Amino acid sequence: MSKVSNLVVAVTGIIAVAVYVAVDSFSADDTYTPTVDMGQADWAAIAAWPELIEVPDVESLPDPDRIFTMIVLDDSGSMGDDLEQAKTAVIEAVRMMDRQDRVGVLALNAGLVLPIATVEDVIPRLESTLRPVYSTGSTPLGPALSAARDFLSEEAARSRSFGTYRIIVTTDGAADDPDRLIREVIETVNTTPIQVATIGIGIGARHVLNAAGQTSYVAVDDVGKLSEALQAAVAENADFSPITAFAEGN
Amino acid sequence: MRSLIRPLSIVLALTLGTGTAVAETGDPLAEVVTSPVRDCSGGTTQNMPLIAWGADGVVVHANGNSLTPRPGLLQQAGWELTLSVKDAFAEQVADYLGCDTPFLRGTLGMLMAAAPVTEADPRTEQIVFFKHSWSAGDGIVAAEGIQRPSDLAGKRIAIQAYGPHVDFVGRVLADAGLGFGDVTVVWAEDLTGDGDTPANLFAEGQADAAAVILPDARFVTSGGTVGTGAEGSVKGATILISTLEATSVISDYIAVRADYFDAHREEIAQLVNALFRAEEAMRGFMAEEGNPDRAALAQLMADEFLGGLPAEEGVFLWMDAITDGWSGNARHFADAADPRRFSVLGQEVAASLRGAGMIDFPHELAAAEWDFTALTDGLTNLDDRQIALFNPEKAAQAVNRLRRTGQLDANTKIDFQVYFEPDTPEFPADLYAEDFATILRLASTYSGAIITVEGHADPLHFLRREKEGAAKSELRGIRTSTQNLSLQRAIAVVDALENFAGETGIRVNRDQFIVDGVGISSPAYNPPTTEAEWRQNMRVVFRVLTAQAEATTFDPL
Repeated sequence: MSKVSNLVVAVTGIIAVAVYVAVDSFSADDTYTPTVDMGQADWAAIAAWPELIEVPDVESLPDPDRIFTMIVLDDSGSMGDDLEQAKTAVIEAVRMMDRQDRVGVLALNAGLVLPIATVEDVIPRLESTLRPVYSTGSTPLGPALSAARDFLSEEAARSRSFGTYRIIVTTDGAADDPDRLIREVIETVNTTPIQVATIGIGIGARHVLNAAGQTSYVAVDDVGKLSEALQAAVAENADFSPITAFAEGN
Repeated sequence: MRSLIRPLSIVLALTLGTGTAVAETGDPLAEVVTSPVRDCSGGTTQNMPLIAWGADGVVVHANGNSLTPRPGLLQQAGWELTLSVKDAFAEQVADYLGCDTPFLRGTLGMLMAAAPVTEADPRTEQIVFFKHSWSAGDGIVAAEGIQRPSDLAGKRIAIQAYGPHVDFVGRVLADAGLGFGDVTVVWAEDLTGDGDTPANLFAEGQADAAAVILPDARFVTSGGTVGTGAEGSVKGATILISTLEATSVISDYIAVRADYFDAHREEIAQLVNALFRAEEAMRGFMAEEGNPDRAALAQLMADEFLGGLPAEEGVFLWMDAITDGWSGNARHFADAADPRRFSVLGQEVAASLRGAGMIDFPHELAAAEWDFTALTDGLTNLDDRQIALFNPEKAAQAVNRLRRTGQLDANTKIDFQVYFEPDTPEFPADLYAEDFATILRLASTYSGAIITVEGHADPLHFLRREKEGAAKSELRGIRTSTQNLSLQRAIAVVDALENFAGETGIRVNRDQFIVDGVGISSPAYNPPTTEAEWRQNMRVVFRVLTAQAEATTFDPL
């Protein structure tokens, strides 16, 4: 990304955070407001993602149908008994994926519990890998989102950014640093093609991880709807009908 | 309008037997060589011309690593050959007519240039009986501002008259949509060295581009990069294209007079078998660093072909040639499915030379028409060879880098309009036979070049939803879908191309094609205002990458 783009993103992020904090401070409850200005998509930055990373095994024939997913699992102390429900949701989500897709799991406190691999390789060891993850520690959701993005960047460098990229956050939403979380969400949705989806545990409709039009959301007891929430968009209309306004320079 | 610059200072005065010809460099050979024809049916003790080319080392090796007859494969085959380097082709032709030698050694362009002279008498009609190699050692250098072959329009190009590059330039111009009528040819007398050469004409500013051997190309471009203007380089000069990419363009042969061939067909078949065996042996030991045979032959070539340069130059000379051996000859002369077979190349070369004014009408040179299955004695490897190997991963990485740094456009480009169904990679492949044939011809001609296959999608749906105020997540999703759809389209076209090649028996190296997709980032029409424009946005573009990615991806055999 160019310096100008970086600056635009940074300024957009700062304004967004300022707006968010200002609005949030007037909120009647503890949930985040969905009226945060999330800024505009930087299409040039999205097209240039990931930055030119030299990786040794660039794919000559990447699979455009493949989906790359980094799951961020909230294993913080606030999750408590909900963690087991979150683990079950993660397992269910992975089982819904195509066997050739790639997935990894990053826990907020336990770290990278499952490096990105094919779903086929991950499924047999997923339960045993998640079993020792306990609810403890803080909730660094922002840094985890950033790290998940970096993992996906490496995957994208290998696949020349073809395919679909997702971060699925399984959390109760209580971030240590809400501002950092917002900045990371904004950077992700404005400067990369990565979709952000949340499997939420008691998250209100005004949380940044449940911001309609920016991120996708399903409740933890309704993970079956995740596929629907993340359905691929139509690329081209089936029929032509001109939009004359474009020709007039609008 | 064609304009051939003929410096008055460069006049050939050849005294040939009883006839004297005075002509200018670049005149047709028929005006330069006027010596009489003598009968030629002597025995197998003969002179044979060589040119300063790595593949000619095969003949030297077969001759007992000597220019004079020594024990070796050729003597075993009953031949006593005295070899001599004859880079002045007009002199070679004169020797050939006078039967100082029954052999003629040259590229197909050189042999074709001699056709008006040799084919005028049935005794001297050429029978092309052995293919040495393809060239990976020639190139076209260009001045600053000339970035792609199509930029040569209206420019001056220096070429050695009767040399190996006339048809090379013709091929490159043709694939850029140009002809000799679109450029000014500046003829040079010599190929390389200190005299009247294309490199020197280029360096002196008398030409905007020059067809040269790669050592000269590297010299004027400061090592194959961009000329700095220091140490003899030309400031801003670059290698426009080379036979590292256009690997199946310049081919080297030995021809023999028809009267001699008729009298010695079986002996010449034995000679060919000896050369196949020598090539097989030489290919083996020249690949082994430290091999004493390699050291000896490299030194001999450096001394005899290059006028006493260090031995390593002899190795480089060998590496500039992609020798054919038995399998390459069998394919080239006897496989009707080979897109670069002798007859096809002959037509191309004749068209180029006509365009350059060197022949008046297309000649068809005869081939020996060997039964190659009868020429395998003593050979251990008859496997088919690919001219070039690609590392697809490195190629993909190079393409990625070129795209990201905005350098992917400076290449030969073919827009391939494919009528895809909207939102799918499906298209009626059976309607595109002619396009596939064109692409396969290009792929085989530029067999050392990566070809990118770049899919595109139409942006109208995205633009409409954006205008309607769709959420960012939806727009991002559409963008991702178009990106992936464009790659699917590129893959579908290459699959169809491969099927077409299989059905028509044409060889194709799938690794040469790197699929890519750019989604809606560069539509032909943005926005499309008619259904035709909308359809044309759903397309695939082929790009023949030249002189950019070969260093990391191409491995000539």
